[in-house]
Parts: sequence; structure tokens; C-alpha cells
Amino acid sequence: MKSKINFYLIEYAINALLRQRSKNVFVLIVFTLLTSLLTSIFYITNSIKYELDTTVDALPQIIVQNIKAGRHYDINVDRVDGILAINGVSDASARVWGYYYFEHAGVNFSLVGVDQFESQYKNSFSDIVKNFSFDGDSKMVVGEGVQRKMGENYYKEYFNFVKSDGSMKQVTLGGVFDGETTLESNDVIVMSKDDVREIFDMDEESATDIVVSVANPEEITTVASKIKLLNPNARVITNEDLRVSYQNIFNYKAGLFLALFIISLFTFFIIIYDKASGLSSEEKREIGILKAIGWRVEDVLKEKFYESTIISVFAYLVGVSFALFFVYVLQAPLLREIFVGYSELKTTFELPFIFDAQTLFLVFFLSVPIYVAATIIPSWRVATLDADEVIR
Amino acid sequence: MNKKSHKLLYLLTFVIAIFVVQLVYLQDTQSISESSKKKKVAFVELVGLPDLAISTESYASRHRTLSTVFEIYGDDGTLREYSYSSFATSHSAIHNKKREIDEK
Repeated sequence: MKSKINFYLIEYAINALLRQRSKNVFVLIVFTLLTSLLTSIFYITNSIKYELDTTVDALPQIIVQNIKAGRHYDINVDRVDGILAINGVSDASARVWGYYYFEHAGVNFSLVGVDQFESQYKNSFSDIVKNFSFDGDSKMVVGEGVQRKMGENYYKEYFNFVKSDGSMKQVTLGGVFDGETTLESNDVIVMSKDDVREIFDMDEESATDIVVSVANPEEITTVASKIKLLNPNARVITNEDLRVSYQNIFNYKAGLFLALFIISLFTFFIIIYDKASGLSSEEKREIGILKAIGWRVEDVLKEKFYESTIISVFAYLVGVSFALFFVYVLQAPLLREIFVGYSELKTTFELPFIFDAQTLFLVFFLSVPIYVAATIIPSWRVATLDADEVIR
Repeated sequence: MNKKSHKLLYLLTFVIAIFVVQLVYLQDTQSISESSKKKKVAFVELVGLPDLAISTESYASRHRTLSTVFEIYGDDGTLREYSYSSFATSHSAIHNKKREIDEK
């Protein structure tokens, strides 16, 4: 037997919805808002995670820092030799970097020293640096945020770094990092290691930390534990630790939001409870009359199914569409601040669009079936009774 | 099919169409291009530091795994820490203020 969609039932369902217009519009609006809020959070998290996952593999495999009394201190570059002697280590180099506080603007710049600044990195620079010229002494390449801050303080072609002894170190602006790397480079100044050492008053024997590369990525944990045994006071961070840290940060932030979202979810569950706990006398009488004029239980349930599906599916589609617009066109004002950090040089990066079907299915199954079930179950209870019993 | 069912179908089709058009538009304009990805990866390989905007708990530094244990109490742009357990680093101007009225 072929089952056909009974369009008269659908029309009846639409009319039933229109008869209680204000109540159904309220349910629709609440449902839409909750769906769009929940979907927005998932979209934002997915986008930021994608942004991070793009670059997390490019981070150093192992970072070794010197910890004294719980605080981070400079590390002796001699330790590099000991680390290089470990089997599996393909490269280890001392990094010189730190924060330079530009007091006048109240911002921190991240100064990063690079070896053989002008020769070795010229080729790799060409893709990520625009308008660069490395002729002359003491050059630096800056992020767009740094260039803007310096420009606001009348430093357009060079900058005077104040050293620890109070003297100045003038460094000329050699180039600016491409706008597409703004998220990563906004506060960064790259210059030669010698210049960074001079600014931070670090001697040749000291470095900020040591980065280690391992030939076989499967051996990172083993090498990290060997480094820790060799240097008991060192903090050894692997890129897996960084990945887990990112995950923890997002879980914490998302959890914080969801804990607050539960309050809004109460509204939805009150509606569900109201629907599931029983029908109003008017609705019961309606079902009784329908049964009296010949409707079967099956027809009543189909009609209720159409009613609840129309509301829930519409609310879902509109909610998800609005969430897309809110997150990717409006760039999620207010909501994304939950996840994005604070900094004077925080960049206004764009949330990249990621289509995640899992999120859409998750939100769908969290909302639509629950509402449909909450509508059908009480209707089934009433529809299985005799017509005169229901009407009385 | 009756009139109201037709209208419902048109409305449903319209909403689905809006959704699909949004997806296509955003995929075309807002997704990260391959060249952009390459630049980001190249930069992170060069500098070796995680990005700034996403780091949250230590607002003045780049990432909490690269910060000190006291970073959570970071107080100002100079990365000066202040908490009861690290008062040797930064004193409280309120508690240590001289009682000038008494002295007068």
C-alpha cells in the first residue's frame, strides 16, 4: 500500500497553528533564538579552532625553558650541545625573543631575533613580507599593528628602543608583514638576534628558550622526557602540549558559555514541559471532536506531527541561517569576545568560514526531535481515549 | 495540493535557498585560501610563537604555556605582577601610602 502525503492534513495543521497564532509565534521566536545562539557558539569555536590547527603544526616541536623558583629565566646556550647529543634530535637552536613595552602607547611588542637575518631568510620573507628592503644596518620587519602604533607615535621610518641602561637603539623599518598573517604577526617585530640581545641586554651565552626539532614526530615525547632528565629545572613543552592547551582553553570558554546558556535553555525546556505534561482542555476537545467525526488515531498523530515539524524545522532553518549571518557577516560581535584574548594590539581578525555538517546535525537532533516528541506524546495519550470521554 | 500547502512549500523552499546561498557565498568569500594558509604557516615557522589574539588567560603574553605561574595576576601593560604572594614585586600603593594627615 502506497502511503501518500495528505495535503489536507497539512492544511489543517497550518490552520491549527494559525488559530493559536501568538502562542506559536512565541514558540517559534524562542526556538529560533536558542538555535541560533547555540549554532553561533559552535561556528565560532570551529572557526577559531580551524585557524589554530592551520598553524599549530608549524610551531616548534619541543620548547625548552629555564625555570627558577617558578619563574621563567634566560637559558644558557651551552645546553644546546647536550640536547643535540640526544638520539633523534635533528636540530636545536637557541631563540632570543621577548616583550618590549612601549610605554608611550601602553603596548607590548613581541621582539623576535632571527639568525642571519639579512641573508638566509630573505627568500622566505618574500612571501610574507611586503615592501621590504634590507639595505643598511639594524633593520626590522614589523606586523601591521606595530606599524600602526609606531605611526601614531610619529615613528614612521625607524624606532628608538630604550635599552636597560637608558640609552637608545635606533632600528630602521625594513618591511611589514603581509595582512593575511595579521592574526599571527600583528604585534611582532622581527630583527637580528644581535639587535634583540642588545635591546634586552642579554649576553651571548643566554637565550630566551631553546627550540628542538625531532626527526621522527613519533619520538617527540621520548626526546622531551630525555631533555627533562638532562635538565631537571627546565620546562619542556611539546607541540602536543600546545594543542591540548588550546583544546583546554576552548573547552573552558565554551563550557563557561554553555553554563550560562543553560539559563536560556530553561525557557525551551519549560515550553517542552508545558507541551509534554498534557494538552489544554481546548486541545483535548478538539481531538475528541476530530475522533467523533471519524479521524483515526493515526490521522490525529500525523496532524500533530506536521504541526510540530513545521514549527521546529522552520525555527531550525531560520536559526541556523541567522547564525551564519551573525557569525560570518557580522563577525559575531560580543559573542566572540568570550573566546578571543585581550591585548592592546589584538587584531580584528576575520572568522574563517568552515562548513561543519556535524554541528548542523548536532543542533538539529538536539532541538527538532525533542520538540516533536513533546508534542506527539500527549496527543497520543488523548487520541487513544474514546471520543465522548475526551469531549466530556 | 491546496493553497496553504503551496505557500508553506514556497516558504520552506525560500528558507532553504537562503541557507544554501549563504553557504556558497561564505565558502567563496570567507574561507581561508591556500595562499593565505601558506603565509600563516611560513610566518609561524619563522617566528615559532603561537598567535596573540586567541590567548586569553595571560592577557599580556602570548600563550599560557609560555608564561609564568604568576601570570594570571598580571596587572598592567608592563607585565608587572601583583598579588598577595608576589608583593615583593609590586607593592600596593594604597596600603603603603603614608598617613600624611596624621603626620601633619
